[in-house]
Amino acid sequence: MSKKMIVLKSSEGVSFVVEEAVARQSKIISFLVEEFPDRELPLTNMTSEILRKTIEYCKKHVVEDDGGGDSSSSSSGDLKEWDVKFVAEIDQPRLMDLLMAANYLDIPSLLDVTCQKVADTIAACNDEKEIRATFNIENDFTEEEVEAIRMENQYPI
Amino acid sequence: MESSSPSSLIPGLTDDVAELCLSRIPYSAFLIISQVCRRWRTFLKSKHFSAVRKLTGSVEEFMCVLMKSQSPEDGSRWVEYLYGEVFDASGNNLGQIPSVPAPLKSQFGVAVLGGGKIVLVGGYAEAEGFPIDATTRISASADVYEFDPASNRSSSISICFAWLCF
Repeated sequence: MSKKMIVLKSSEGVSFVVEEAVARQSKIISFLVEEFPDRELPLTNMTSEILRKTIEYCKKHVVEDDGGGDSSSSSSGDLKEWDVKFVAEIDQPRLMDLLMAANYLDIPSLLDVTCQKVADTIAACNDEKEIRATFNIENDFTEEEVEAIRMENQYPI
Repeated sequence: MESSSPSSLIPGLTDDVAELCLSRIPYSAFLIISQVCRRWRTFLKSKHFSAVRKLTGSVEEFMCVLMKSQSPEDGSRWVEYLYGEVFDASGNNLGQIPSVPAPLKSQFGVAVLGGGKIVLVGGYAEAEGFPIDATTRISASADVYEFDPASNRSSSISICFAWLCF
């Protein structure tokens, strides 16, 4: 049985041919292939790099109905381990892009692991300065506010 | 990907997604993350934050230990106070509960509502201006205080605690 393939196009115009079952991990694509069969789907806000990563994730997670395929036979424990490794290897800016891609394409499990990675990264920081530096966040507290917060934390009401 | 504004919660992410990330951070890190920037602090103290935590299944269980005690004031009379500490599921002490923002009443009622809020109701207090002796005058109190660990509205040691008088 030949597998149905669909074409996803990145913002750079690069085409990726993927099995429909893989692409259907995305609820949005799942909807689009039903509405517009046999069309290539332009994903204008996703770079090739992020699209490739997303497809890599979907391939690993696809549940194949017709047996075969060693990836689908992974136990959930192995899959979880794979997920952790998958996000651990991605640098911060790309993680953000991948997270946004998971949100945009509506891939709940990918959104879940990427959000968790961001949360874990924040929780692993030793103080607020490290969090600001890691995520490029501006400290917009005034001197007075910083002092007030410090006092609050030192002396409970 | 779509870019986010400079005032976004986390640069590079839209706020709806950033909220999902922040809601997964364990409670024990709240003190630190509330000091990152104004937007984070505001979000952590909002009711919306509690709602997102519930939605993402990030709600944690805590044990609040309340203890009524006395301490001498000026060495002459004893003042009652309520002291509380919060522990997470692993037994980590997460800090103290702020005091009730008013003189503590005697014989108040305590209840836990909806599995999340601790409520102190009524009791009586010594009426102002009357000494404690045989002729002590007391007045019943209609005060109700709510302590909501999840609301994050507070200014005390832990950003997550607030006594609300209503």
